[in-house]
Amino acid sequence: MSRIDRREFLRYGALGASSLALSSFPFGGKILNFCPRAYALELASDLSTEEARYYKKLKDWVVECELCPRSCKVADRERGYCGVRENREGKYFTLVYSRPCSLNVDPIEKKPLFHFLPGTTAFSMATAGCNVNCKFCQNWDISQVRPEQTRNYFLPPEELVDLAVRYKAPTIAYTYSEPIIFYEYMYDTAKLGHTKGIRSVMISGGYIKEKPLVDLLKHLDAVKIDLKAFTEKYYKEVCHGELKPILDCLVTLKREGIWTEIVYLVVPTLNDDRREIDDMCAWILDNLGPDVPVHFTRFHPMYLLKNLPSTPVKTLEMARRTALKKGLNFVYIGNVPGHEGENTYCPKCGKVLIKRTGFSILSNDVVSGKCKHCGKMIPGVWS
Amino acid sequence: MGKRSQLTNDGTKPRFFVSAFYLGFLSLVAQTILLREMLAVFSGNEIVLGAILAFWLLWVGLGSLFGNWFLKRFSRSLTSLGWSYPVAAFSLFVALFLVRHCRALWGYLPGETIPLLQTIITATVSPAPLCFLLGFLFVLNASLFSERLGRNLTNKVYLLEAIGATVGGVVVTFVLIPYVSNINIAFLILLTSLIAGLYLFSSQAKRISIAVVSLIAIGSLLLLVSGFTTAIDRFSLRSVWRGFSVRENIDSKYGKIIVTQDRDLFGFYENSSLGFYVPNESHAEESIHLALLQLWEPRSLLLIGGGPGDNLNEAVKYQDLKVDYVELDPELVRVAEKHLTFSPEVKERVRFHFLDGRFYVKDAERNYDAVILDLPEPLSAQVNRFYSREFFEEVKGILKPGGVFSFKLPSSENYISPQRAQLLGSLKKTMELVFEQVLILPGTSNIFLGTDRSGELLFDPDLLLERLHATQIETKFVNQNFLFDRLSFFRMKMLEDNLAATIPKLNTDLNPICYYYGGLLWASQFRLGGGKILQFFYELPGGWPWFFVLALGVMIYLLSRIRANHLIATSKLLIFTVGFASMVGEVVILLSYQTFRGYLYSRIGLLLALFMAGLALGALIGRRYRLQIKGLPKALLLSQVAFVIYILVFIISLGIISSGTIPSLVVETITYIYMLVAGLLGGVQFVFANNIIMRMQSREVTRSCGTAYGLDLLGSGVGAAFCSAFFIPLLGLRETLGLLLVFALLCISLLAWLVVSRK
Repeated sequence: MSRIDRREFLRYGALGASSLALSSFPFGGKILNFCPRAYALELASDLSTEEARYYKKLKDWVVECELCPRSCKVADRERGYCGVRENREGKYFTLVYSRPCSLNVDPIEKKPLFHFLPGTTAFSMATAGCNVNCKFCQNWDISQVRPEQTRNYFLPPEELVDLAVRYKAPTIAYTYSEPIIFYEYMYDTAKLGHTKGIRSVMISGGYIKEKPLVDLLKHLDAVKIDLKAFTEKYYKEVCHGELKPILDCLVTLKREGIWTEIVYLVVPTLNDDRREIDDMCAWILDNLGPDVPVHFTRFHPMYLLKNLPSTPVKTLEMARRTALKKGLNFVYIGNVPGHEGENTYCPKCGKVLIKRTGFSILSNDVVSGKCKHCGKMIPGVWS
Repeated sequence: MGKRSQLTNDGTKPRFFVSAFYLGFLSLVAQTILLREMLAVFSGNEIVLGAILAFWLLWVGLGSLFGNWFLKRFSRSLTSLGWSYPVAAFSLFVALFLVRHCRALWGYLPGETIPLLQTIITATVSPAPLCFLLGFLFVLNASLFSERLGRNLTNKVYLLEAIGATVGGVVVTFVLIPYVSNINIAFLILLTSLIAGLYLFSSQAKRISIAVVSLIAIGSLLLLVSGFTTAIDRFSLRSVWRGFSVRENIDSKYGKIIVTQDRDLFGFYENSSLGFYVPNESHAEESIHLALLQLWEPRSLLLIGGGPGDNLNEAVKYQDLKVDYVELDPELVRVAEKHLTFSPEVKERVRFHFLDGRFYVKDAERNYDAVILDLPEPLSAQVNRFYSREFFEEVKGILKPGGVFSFKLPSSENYISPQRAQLLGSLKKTMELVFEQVLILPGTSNIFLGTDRSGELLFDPDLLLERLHATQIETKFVNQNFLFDRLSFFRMKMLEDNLAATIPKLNTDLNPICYYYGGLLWASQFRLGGGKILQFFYELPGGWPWFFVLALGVMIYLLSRIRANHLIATSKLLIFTVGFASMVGEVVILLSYQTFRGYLYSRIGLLLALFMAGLALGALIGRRYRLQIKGLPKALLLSQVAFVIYILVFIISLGIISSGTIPSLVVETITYIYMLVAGLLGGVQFVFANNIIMRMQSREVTRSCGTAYGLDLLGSGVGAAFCSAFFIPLLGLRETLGLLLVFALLCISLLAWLVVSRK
């Protein structure tokens, strides 16, 4: 496992800037000297024509997508709800294969994954498109547009993995928008990454069918699921989605044994009712067990909900208390730096195991996957 | 005694005066409160405002054209006129209900932004019955009383209606709005309309009608006096804010303030937009520290906007820092003080100034180490004036050498869309014209920094961290990890690349392009949001508004030639152009006022009243010159020449006003005069053109008055829509006036040709 320290980051920045200065290309040109050490990233000039892997052909050049529970029936020259899959004469294509529009190096804690290689970085990427439309989306200008509306790079899986290696990121995170909609690209990159020692994590809303999910999990190392609420009403009104398939997805993840963490964004007046949170925790306990980390994160006014104030910290504390009382072992508070709810506590001896503030790790007392103080096994991926 | 004097004696004449006057009064009061209600529900963007105004005028125009058709076929009586006013007042309630509850009716959540398309549909549909009736009532008044009094009274109705509107504007601005809620104003309108109705048909109607109207009037009065209407208002408010605990509901001079509480968090809303909330340390730490850490030991800070919340607590963490906090609305601070606790340091070291931020900066002395602007994005002309080159120059003028100016705009930390890049790029370009060094820090909000010395601004997280440690200030959010994540090479580079890929225009007072860019960004949030329409107009070749106006001119010319009677055709089209031109003039004045004075919301009623007073005055002057048919085209020509001179003077004075050398009181007075004169010229021209139609079609009063009024309003509607949505943001205020000048010259040539050909 390798880490990138801030000095290194700055040095890369300086190198990148100098390579830029030396470049003969203007900023808006065809090639962007985006990365350090004169590593040039090419802007994609077109959309991809990689055939989709989960669909069936119907009559009259109509296809039915079998990737997500929406099961879009798509006529010729039309696209699915996600806007990134197109039917061309009865053949279904993904338009975003090797076409990411956003690349960053983030702390893994930002995803958030708290029990997965803490203190490391994740090379994070996304393409345009999403299969739901959440009114609070913080990445709406990627997720709610079509790929021809974004500036995309041409970055095949080999180069993406290579970039993660260059940035000394042990993990690639498929994130920001909804990775399920660039399934083929994620699948190939994750598979290739494993051959080069790079792990893959999917940061997703979990709106996917079982078959493609199970196939994908063979090449993933962890999954974070946004469980956006615990009512169908909320999913329908706020996200244009459904709850049931998400719960099914979580059960599948548990069954397949992949490391999973859950995020519940607490939105004032919409999903902050104590009973709803109580019901959700009961379901998690019954179906996923007590060791799944649950993060109650703070909402900030975003996108179409700019007129809702943030979640009061006291509401998050109520949610955390409710979950702990229900019997969940690892319950966190997110987006409130310095709060004690950011730390990992040993469920046996109660001592602080990982002390955090924001995305920083201040101390880590998990040794070989066990509590340094009492030896209790702490679930997660630690090395 | 002749028939005419008999009719006069039976009370028709006073009824005519009351009816036409009340029509204007009702129209302006209803328009003002409905506009306030809409501004409080929809995003207060001028593009939306223009659409609202345009559809209002179009419906009134259509109503009068319908009146034309209808009244030619069906009988008219004082009873039907008398009933029409209460029906109009009732439709005001319907409009208010639809606007206030449109979020729920459309299925949107409380706090959710209503998309442009739905906003425009609501703005179109909700006032439709009311406006349609108002247009119809104009024709009904003119035709009914013309018939009864035996002469064409269209111009007189126009005059009385304008006087009524003027009085309505003054009453609603100074008497009603400060003390009475919108719902109660609507009840008062219902009450007065019932009384007016009673008076109108008292001599003719059946007793049962009089009894019914009297009962409704007494019932309304009782509801008003008993406080029931206030209870309805509260109930309706609760249903709009379902899920929230509303602690305050205040109609201040500058807008509607709502305070909500959720556990220990207070949200402060201004016109339904979340202004600020407390606690919100992350916002405050970002706003304050990323600017002040650029300086060693800052001593003086000017903070404009952001609300009297955590920003102040954060700022006083700097030892010996004196803070001047500028807030337009004292009510906001009063209500914040009621619910929030200010630290002793805030009480000791913060001075509150209640006035417009731009005025404060204009008159302030050069002694600030830092100026922080914490306002919403420039989505409207009102806010855009704080992001213009002129304002940046004024800020630079009050900063000490090496001082820092900062503001932040919401953004996305992972991707910069072309629409956002356009807005950010324009602001960067504008900043760079004024400041020696400009820096934008990426993140969930982009922080703009500017200073008059190059190489002073820091973006190295190490150096910023060093400064933070040196201040010994305790922060929760702005820390090592925050700085390194936020100022990562990837994010800095992504922002730089995306901005470099755009070629934005400069944002100035007279060319407020950023509110158009803001509109594009705002509209891009919605899948069916109208953003594509805005983008389409933006991407058209630069001079399209000129082609539009030229094409309009040519079309008017050709249409005037098609009809056998050129004089009537030309006059009718001229009425359309008068409506178009005076509305463009009115919108330019309103937005200039917004730009230079900054608080349109509190003066909208007065400005509209002045315009109507001008119309009344113009109609009066026009009536004094009882010209023969031969002299009318010439008179129209002269009035059009006067309009050209008016535009020229306006263009010149805009340049002088924007230089900032004229005292603000003078600017305010000049604006009022311009508004009055715009109305006056419109009124004179309407009367002259209408006289031509009346004289030529003297046997058909209904037809002439409805057509003239309808065309005037249709022209106004087209003018309002194009001017506020496209002309001003794309061309700027001065070029829009230039456009109007060309249009007026086209009309002059048409008239000159008519005068010469008739000779």
